[in-house]
Amino acid sequence: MAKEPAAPPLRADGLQIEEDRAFQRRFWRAQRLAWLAFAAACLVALLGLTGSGGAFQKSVMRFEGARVEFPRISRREGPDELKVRFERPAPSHGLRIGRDFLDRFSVERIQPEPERSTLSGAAQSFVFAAEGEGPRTVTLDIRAKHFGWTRLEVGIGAETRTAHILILP
Amino acid sequence: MDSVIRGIAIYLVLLAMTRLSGRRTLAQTTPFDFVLLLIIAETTQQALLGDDFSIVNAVVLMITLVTVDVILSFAKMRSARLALWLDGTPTVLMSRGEIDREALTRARVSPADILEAARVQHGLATLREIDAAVLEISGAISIIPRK
Repeated sequence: MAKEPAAPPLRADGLQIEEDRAFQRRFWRAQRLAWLAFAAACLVALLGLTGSGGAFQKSVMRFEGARVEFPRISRREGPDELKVRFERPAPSHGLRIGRDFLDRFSVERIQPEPERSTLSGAAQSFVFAAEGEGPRTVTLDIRAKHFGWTRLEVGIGAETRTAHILILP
Repeated sequence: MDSVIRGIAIYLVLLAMTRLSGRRTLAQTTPFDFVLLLIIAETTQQALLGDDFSIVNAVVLMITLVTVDVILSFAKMRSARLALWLDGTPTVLMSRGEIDREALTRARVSPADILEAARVQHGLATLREIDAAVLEISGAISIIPRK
């Protein structure tokens, strides 16, 4: 059984209150530090370091004739985008995405829809039909299923680039 | 499992945030404080439930929150130090009719707040009629009138 708490002491001014002013002063200092930390957290979020937009949230992979914009930081169950921009005209464009990324993210929509999609052991390949002048953009609406650190491997033509994405809980 | 972890994490984050933001932040002193409280509640609800709106998830979460609360209340009864850190102590803002300027500044309370509490609780018109004012753990100001 827990012991019964004692009644607060009677002060000289007649108040029966347990006021620990020394602790209170320490706590007031801690509070002010916490407010600075809250302001810093807002700043970090504005910069995009907690995902969902901001200067540092996205990163870019550059290929010969294409660029892939992907989230450097994402959030579990939060919507995000992976954008592929093909800068050179061609009758079709190929895109390979590694399994690690697809295990961690669900692809909710691909705009435009690929003409063909092929599964292989380590990656999924998409082929997009195209006509006329470029550039053309393919957008993948993605949503992280689990939090953690994941590898994004993208292949366009003979080139392959790898990056890492931090998924926050 | 996920629901329990979410429940404990949100409970601890909310506890730390409400404690560190200060007693007056969420003490509902203005109508907007009440609106702020509602917005925080709504935001928390989404983080707690995620996309699982099943009754089981809601029940597991409620049980988790109540259990953590009961465990902490027992822990606070056993450890005065923990109780001090989690609940704090009342702050005497006025004693024997004298205002404690340090306490007012640090606790973000103005003489106008003390006067408001004095009017509401005892119908007192001036500071001279107040013997003591205490900022309670709840964030409310209690007034003891001068005899």
